[in-house]
Amino acid sequence: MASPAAKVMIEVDSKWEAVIGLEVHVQLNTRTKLFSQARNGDVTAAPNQNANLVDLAYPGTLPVLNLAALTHAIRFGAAIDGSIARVCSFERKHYFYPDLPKGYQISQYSQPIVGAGVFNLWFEDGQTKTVRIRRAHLEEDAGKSIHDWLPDSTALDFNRAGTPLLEIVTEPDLHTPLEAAMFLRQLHALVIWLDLGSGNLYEGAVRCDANVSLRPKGNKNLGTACELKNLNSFKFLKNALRYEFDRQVAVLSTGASVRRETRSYDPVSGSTRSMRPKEQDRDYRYLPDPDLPPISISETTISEIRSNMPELPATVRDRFLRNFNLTPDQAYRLTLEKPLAELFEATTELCKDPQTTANWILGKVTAIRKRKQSRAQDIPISARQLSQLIERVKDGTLGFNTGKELLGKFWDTNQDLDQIIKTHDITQISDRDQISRWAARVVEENEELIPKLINGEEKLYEYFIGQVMKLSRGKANPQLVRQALQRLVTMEDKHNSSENLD
Amino acid sequence: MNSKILNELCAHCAFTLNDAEKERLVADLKLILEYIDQVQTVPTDGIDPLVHPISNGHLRKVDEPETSGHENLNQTESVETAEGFYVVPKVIEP
Amino acid sequence: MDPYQTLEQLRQLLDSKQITAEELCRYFLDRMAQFDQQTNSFVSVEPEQVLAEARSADKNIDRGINGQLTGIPVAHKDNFCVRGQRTSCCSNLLSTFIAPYDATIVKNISKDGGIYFGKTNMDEFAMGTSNQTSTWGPVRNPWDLSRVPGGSSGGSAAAVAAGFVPVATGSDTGGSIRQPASFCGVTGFKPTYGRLSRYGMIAFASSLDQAGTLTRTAQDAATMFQIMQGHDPRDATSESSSNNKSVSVKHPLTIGYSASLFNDLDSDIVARIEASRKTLEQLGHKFEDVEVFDQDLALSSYYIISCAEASSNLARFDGIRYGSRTKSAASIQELYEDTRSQGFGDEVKRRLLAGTYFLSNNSPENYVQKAQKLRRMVYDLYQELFQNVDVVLAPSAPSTAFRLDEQLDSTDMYRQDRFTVPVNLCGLPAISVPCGLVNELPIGVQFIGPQYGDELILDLADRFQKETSWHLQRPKL
Repeated sequence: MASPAAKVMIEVDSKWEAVIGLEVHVQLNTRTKLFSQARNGDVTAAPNQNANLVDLAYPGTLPVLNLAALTHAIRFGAAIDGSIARVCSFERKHYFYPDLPKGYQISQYSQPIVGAGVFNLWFEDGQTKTVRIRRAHLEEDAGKSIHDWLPDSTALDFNRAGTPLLEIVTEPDLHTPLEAAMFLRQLHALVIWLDLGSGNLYEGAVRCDANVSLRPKGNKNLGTACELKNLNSFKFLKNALRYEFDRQVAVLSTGASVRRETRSYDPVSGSTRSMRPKEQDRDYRYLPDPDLPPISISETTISEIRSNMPELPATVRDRFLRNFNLTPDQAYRLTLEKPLAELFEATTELCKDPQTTANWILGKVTAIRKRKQSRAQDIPISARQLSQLIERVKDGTLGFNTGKELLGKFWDTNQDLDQIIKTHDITQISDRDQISRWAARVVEENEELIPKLINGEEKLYEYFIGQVMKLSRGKANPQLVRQALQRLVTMEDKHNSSENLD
Repeated sequence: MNSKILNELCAHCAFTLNDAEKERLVADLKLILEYIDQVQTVPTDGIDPLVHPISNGHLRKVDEPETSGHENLNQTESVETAEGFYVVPKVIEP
Repeated sequence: MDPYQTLEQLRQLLDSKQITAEELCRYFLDRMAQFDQQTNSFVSVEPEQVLAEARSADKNIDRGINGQLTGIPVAHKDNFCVRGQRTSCCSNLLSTFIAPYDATIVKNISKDGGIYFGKTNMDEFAMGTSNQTSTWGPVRNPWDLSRVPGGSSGGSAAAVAAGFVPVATGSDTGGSIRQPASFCGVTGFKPTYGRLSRYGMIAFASSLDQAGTLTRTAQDAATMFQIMQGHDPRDATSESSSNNKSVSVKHPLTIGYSASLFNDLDSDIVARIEASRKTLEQLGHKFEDVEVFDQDLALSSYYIISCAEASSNLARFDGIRYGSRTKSAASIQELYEDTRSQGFGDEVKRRLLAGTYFLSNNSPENYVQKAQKLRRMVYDLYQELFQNVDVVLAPSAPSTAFRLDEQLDSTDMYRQDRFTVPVNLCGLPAISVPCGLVNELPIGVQFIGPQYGDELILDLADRFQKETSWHLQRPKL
């Protein structure tokens, strides 16, 4: 496999370098909203059923900060080694839009809760790259406007209004579309690892905007950036940036300059188009929110939160590499999701075979999970089941294929492996006499094919083995079947030769 | 203060004024600003702005949804709704 | 039946069964029906509801389940949400708005047994000092119907002065309780910022707004204060009940006094305040000269901050989720503009434009930050001042009630607030008590306390009222 670094090289135009910074909005999975006690994050609720008087900006209502959301933000700050503000304050950002009930959004402008930090981007070959995080701040989400339902009207659902968002802003440290996509993927993984949010991209629980400019390679100055809005999947981000890179190269190559503007990405055509001149020119009239006096955050609170942090993915990855002799790619993939890392470690603990465990988890477990569209935390296989499976395959009780099939059974039941083996009579058959009898029957039934088999057509061998397996209802040890067939074929061959001699 | 600035302010405030109102308000605001502008004569370098008379707000420690909520009251005052949605004239996306 | 009785006297009448709550409420309803056409102090009253509540209060009194207010009518300024009642802020924009919930102080009063009597008139969104900007028409001063009652809590002050109710709530952003109290000859109390919940009080300028009361006596103000206060988890600025920071009550006091405040006042008014000072000296209090902050600078700072916050607070009135949507608009822009152009009156528009200007990139200087720096200077000055004195004495208003037809330009109107706004900038408690009549119109004097000195100034005002009878004067209706 080509290393990502090599891929990166392919993407970089010989003359131009992209400079990319991301703004990622993460919906936090607190039970209630950022400033109201309405239920948060229930995407199945009927319209406006989870919007209370505060969310709807009824006259006289007031915001009160949800400690759980603040704690989430501080946990993220601790994970990226960011500075944590000792005072939490909010500003109002004013603009009129029908899904913004108060006519302003409560956000953090002058003092984000999380200041400068670092994110170590990891590549499959074990290389890393530091992406600086400029800031991360808390703000409230707006409601949803539905423009395409009624012919002449826009419908408004305020259930989402007031959902806590953590807006994470990077420095422009990313230089290729692939890097940017990998960053988003790993940031997304961190958010889920820390249990800050559902991370559901489809539901908009993580939303990404990208600022991208080009500069002649080797140049340190920044070019004029365009802001690409709503790149809500890794693929969209990568493709939009690729398109934008080409577009800007085309503009700059003619000697023209790139216009500072906000652009949207159309996943169908794969292109970006201009929406409006850049927002910097809009006058948001920021005002410290007079309903929310600053809240001081004590050292004790911060250290308490720090001490309750889980081991971070990077640390776990290093440990896996050190202790289990995995490849960097295996270590990377096993530590994208916490439940997977935990399953790996617990299984290895039981079966003492990290390599086989890694293969099972990254292979068949991942395949079934994809098919069943399970989230990592919903994988129903316990470490005990998986280690049993690994051991039974190793000692020959189960064939590899039967083992794989059994995983599917585990998915739906929660039975003990030995129990399943007993009740379903699936112990591998290694009785050589029985296997020989089946093989003889298959050879007899396919006599006309024998000469070809003798000539060593491997495909035909597979066919014969398959026929024997069928007779055994899949339980015959495939190794022994092959041996039995080979023996029979050799005998036939000798028989034929002796006939010819006559 | 002039009518151009006033027009921009009206746009930010999302209301309109007729010409007579505009004329009167430009004059009013000029007068007010004349009075207000005395604040600019006071040296305030190094002074920390006071945004709030109390130094520390409090937050909500309970992260449990309020069940005795106002869910069904939400739309009693609403002007136009359809199937649980609030409705406004079609917003043309920029 | 005497309509001018204190809460204590009414309690006694009710508990001794000399009168039932129903009779009491009917009496006040009748009196209001008879005279309020002249004063226009109420904007909504539902007599049947009042009487129904009174009857259930009578049952409670019979069973001995008594709060201090059980059976006693209380009026609320029209910017407090009362569940099921029109709560309009006396604005056309909210003229059809029925509040779906109770403001916390409304709830606290009704929990104590107080009977919701009706909504009192006010300046639109509490912006004004004359109560002439109400969409329901101006309030007239019971002492002289050609004069204003002051504002913005003009309806509450007039209602108490006219004997329609014994107590009414008010709100004070820059003097909106104390100035009308002075104009109407009643006791107006504005507590320390944060001691009464703002939840359900429709915001004008959040960092300055404070609920309070208009009552006949300081003792009634103290009773109401005790009933209304308490930590409210729905208001992030509500004082936590656990840390009791109250300044302890003591006597006698050192009272700060600044001669510079009186420079441009009428000699008759100065004479009344001087007389109050004498009374206080006779009670054993010491006076000390203090320097206060430049009034016009403090006022300018107040104006910038209050308008900026108002322009933000009133952005929510877009006609989409509640309130009046005037006609079916062709575009979203038209919806906003129709709703707000027709919904807001002139004074509100003026302040929203000014506030927007102060916040916008259009203004060459950063007005808001400058104003907040001045606010810090005022705050620091008062902090320092209260190191040396216990209370500060000041006029409540620069004049007695002016005539409705008097043409004051905007800045003159705003300068009505110059003795009261520093208190709001610093979040201090203050009380205005009647201290005399000038040309048969009442005038008040203001006691300003340190932060959390609410009980201290209430006690001082009570002692003052025990020595004087100005608060017992009544207008002739």
